[in-house]
Amino acid sequence: MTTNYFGYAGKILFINLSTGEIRKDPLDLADARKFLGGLGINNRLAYDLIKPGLDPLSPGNPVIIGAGPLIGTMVPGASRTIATSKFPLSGAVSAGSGSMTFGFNMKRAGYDHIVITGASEKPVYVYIDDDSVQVLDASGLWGRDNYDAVDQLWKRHGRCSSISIGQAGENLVKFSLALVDKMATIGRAGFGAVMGAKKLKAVLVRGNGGIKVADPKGFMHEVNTLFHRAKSYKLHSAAVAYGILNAGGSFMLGDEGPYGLNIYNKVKKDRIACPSCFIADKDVLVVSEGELGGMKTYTHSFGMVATAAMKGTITDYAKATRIVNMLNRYGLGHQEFDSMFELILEASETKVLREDQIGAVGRNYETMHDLIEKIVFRRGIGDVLAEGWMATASEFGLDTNRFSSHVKGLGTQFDPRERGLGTMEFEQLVNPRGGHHQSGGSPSYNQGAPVEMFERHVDRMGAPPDAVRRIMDSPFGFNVGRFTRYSEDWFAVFDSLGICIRSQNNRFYSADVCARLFSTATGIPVDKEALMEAGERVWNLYRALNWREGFTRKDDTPPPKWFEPLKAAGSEFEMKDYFQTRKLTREDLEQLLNDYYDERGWDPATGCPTREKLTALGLDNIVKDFEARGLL
Amino acid sequence: MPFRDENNPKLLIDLDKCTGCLNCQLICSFTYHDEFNPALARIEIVRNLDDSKGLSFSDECIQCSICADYCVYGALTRTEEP
Ligand code: SF4
Ligand code: SF4
Ligand code: SF4
Repeated sequence: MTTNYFGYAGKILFINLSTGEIRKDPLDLADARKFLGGLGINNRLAYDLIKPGLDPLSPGNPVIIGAGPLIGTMVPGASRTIATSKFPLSGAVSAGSGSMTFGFNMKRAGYDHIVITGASEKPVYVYIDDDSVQVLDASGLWGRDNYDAVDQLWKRHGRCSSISIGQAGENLVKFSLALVDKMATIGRAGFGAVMGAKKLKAVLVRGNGGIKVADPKGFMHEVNTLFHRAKSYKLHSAAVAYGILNAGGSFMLGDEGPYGLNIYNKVKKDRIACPSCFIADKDVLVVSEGELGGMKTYTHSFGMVATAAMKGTITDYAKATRIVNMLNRYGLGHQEFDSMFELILEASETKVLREDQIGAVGRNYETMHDLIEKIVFRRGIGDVLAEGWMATASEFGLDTNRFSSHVKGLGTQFDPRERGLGTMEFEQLVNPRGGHHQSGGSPSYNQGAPVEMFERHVDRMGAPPDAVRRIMDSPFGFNVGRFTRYSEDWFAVFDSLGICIRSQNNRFYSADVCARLFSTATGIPVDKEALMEAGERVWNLYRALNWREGFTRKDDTPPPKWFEPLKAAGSEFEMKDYFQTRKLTREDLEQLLNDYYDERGWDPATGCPTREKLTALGLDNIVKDFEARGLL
Repeated sequence: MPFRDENNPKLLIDLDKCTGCLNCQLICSFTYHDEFNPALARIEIVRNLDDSKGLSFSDECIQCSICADYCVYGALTRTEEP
């Protein structure tokens, strides 16, 4: 592959599964300037391709895969692939992200974005090998789980990168996801079902080309500084040893116990890095003995095993690992399964659901195992559960707010009653795709961060000095609503450039460094202000995509449960701010939401971008479109 | 068990520590071919279908050891020739 592009591969690949049409368009550099790539250009494509109100499982819903301009280079951790589509669980236009080698291969094959539309009548997979793009028969793979199907495909085509679905996606489970290279999850909330509805078992890609950068010397200067910093980082070996379970140099889950370091060391077979990552954190886990001896599981963190063990009070690590293994093989979203499990337990304890309706359930391995099977294969009650817990609640007449914490129909993972209202917790309210936290990273990810760290962090993320002052002028130490705006823009830049946002990687970057990396790689000169403005533009477009679907401020409402005390470990916990200054009321949350919209320059009544904001960001076409729709 | 490859005996290879990050290939191809492209690197990193791994140097390797400088996992270490 030869290309005149720097950083970018230069092409967008369009595949229509209904008609078989395959088309390659050149990447428009004006789009690259405005939206960077990855998430940003995915949003821009989605704006044209997703007809408002379309059924997520209809052929018209596109699968848009994006790999940013830094992927394929040596920028550490530049391996984030973004999958955008309208997801069926929430009905929101959503962007899932996953790592491993898909984006790397896509770029090397010559594509910055891949757009798959239409639907096939029989099961197929897409096989991309540099210039060659084929849609091939997958009937022999349908019904096989992720590991099994990808192994078959690799035997047939040699090792390449894959995005695949398991039976959960095939059976259109609303919280199915896909796996990248059998390892990384992508698209909780039903991306798997979107592929399943297209009868698309997998997308394989292999690239043999290379990526050039515009200013090799300048570029390597930045890369070398990052490598130097990583090498002298005193927690580097702990970060590599424990991944996201690294807590200041020790293992977050303790040395002993059913999921302590003793067990982790026993089950950890190998450590895997995404291309160019200097903080490898992917695990290959192998159970060494007993009934499940030999079982191999790929995961982004042993934390998944620990969560399964805690949720199901499972003391046998092999069984807890088996739960993770099943979820991954079938391609079922961990988080949504967890909320479903909790809902069933709570509804049965309170006798809202009876044994004749759901069978005998308990907080144990057997119930988890049984529920997973029922949901994935839509057996008995599983057929209802597979539709998501909003549908489940309405089927059984349950009060959704009583049993679960959700925003826009997507379950929240971070409960502010446990650790205070940090940015991850707050982000779940305002994220366009629903109760998702990933774009809300900040020092509040860890407990006990000093207040000065917040100031340093928001400055590193490129917030202007007046914004830093507004953020730090708060009775709660920092204003979580205002801060979150900058976390999102930062995330938008990372997901658009293709850099991994995980804290152990993103800690080495600043807005300045990102701007220099982008400029030297692509030859498009930007300073940090322009780069962060592009991030803001990408996020505004993300919001606008969902505004068009009908989501407004009313959908940013905090889950009612947050205002009730959380009963745990024999005590009660109330929602407080991150520094635990005081209990937060509904009025406090409304004020913080107002602050967030204000910091964004959005209309606090609708929670959506104003005409002025969209115009200032150069999104005039959206202003016109929204005026025509009567939204502006 | 760490081992050496006859095409580059200056580096000690510890496969157990290799994470497959490919930084060695990226820096080698960039240094000698001005692009990031594992296919042009003089070091090969292999992951087999059963997850077993391989690492070798091609006979074009000039033993400059730059790749080892970018291996942060300890899979490639500069040593004197045995
Ligand atoms: S930190 Fe983990 S997910 Fe991120 S690039 Fe590295 S290995 Fe991949
Ligand atoms: S740089 Fe080191 S860890 Fe990474 S692929 Fe090369 S030898 Fe393996
Ligand atoms: S020693 Fe030098 S030439 Fe040989 S593989 Fe490493 S970087 Fe390439």
